[in-house]
Amino acid sequence: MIREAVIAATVTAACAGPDAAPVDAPPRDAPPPCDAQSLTIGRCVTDAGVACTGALGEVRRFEAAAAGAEVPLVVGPQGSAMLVFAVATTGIVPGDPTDPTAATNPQLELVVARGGAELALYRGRMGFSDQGGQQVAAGLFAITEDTGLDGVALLAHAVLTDQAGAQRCGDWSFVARR
Amino acid sequence: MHGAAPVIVAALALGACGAPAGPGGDADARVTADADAITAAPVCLAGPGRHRLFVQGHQGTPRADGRYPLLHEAGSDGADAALCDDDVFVDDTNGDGRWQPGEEPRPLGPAALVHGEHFLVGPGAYAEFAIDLCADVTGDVALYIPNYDETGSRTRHELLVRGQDGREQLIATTIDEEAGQSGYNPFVRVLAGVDPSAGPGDLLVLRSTNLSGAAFSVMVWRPPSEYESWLLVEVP
Repeated sequence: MIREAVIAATVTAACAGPDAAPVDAPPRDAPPPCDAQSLTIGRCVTDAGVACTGALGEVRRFEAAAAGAEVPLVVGPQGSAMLVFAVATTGIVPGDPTDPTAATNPQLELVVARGGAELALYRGRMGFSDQGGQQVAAGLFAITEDTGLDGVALLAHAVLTDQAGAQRCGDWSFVARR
Repeated sequence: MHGAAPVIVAALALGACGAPAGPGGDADARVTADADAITAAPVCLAGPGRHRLFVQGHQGTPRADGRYPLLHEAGSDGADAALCDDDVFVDDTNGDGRWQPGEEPRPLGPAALVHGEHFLVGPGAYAEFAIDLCADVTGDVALYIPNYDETGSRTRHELLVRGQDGREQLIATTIDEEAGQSGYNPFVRVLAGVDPSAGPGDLLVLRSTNLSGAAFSVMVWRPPSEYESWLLVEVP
């Protein structure tokens, strides 16, 4: 349905003034590196071993990868670019991986940075599963509006806080790849 | 995509009437050289009555705490800007001067409002939007959230007050599991929530959490437009 805009609006005296066009704001600085690496950031893969895409019903796993490894750029909703991660650690209150509303779930924040500036931010509260003796969470979708990332070196930084207040931190350099 | 972008014949963005500056604010204070200088409005929500708070688009600047701002405009005398006036902002079909579900917004918005959908993919993913409080708020809340969603999408919206000590008081919560993949089908709720005990120094937070994992967005689409996400709160 096409809506006609209001061509003349009642503007109170208090609203008179110059009209500035909104502009994209500068990005925030990337967070500093972790003092100690206690959280491993890696790729998210499905049970079939392919990159996670966000499709409902995916069974997602953590896959370790070396520094500088490639992370696929997944086309997300409305054409946005998504980088999908997984993390692994030990010794935390894991919460309930079947219930995203569980109060016991750790809180996790993952920042993707480029050249010292924040590119994308993921925040989630999800339960951790056991995988090979580690506690893992897979399917951390960091969504960015930047379209020129193919082959670009990026940095992921993640901080986790569990219900008991324990913190884990990790950094991982990788290359985004379409 | 959410459907063909509507043709805006002419869109009018109201000038920032002393838009909030300082921590959490997006727009600089405007000071003109003449005697009718418009100074920055307080950085926090205050003043009795109903206020309309706009979700800042994803291309905007987050607050220092990583939350995106809820934008609220006030005039030079501290009174609400016209965006809080339902006679101005919505197509007031019943003529009572007060928005109600079914009455559609006009393509207006704060000057500092920018484009950008806040996508949430994967269960547990959440986004928060916030404004500092300088006054108490009641439990009466209205949500108007155009959104992108997919089959199976379930997203929980919570409005809460977060104290400086980190403790949270939940005012109201609701779950969007309605089909409707576009800004033409906004999620609209009027809620009678819990009256919190809030005041200066507290934070009013809208938290949207993906429950099912299917992609969802809190939409702010090419403002000023009818596809802006906003909420109504009341200061007693």
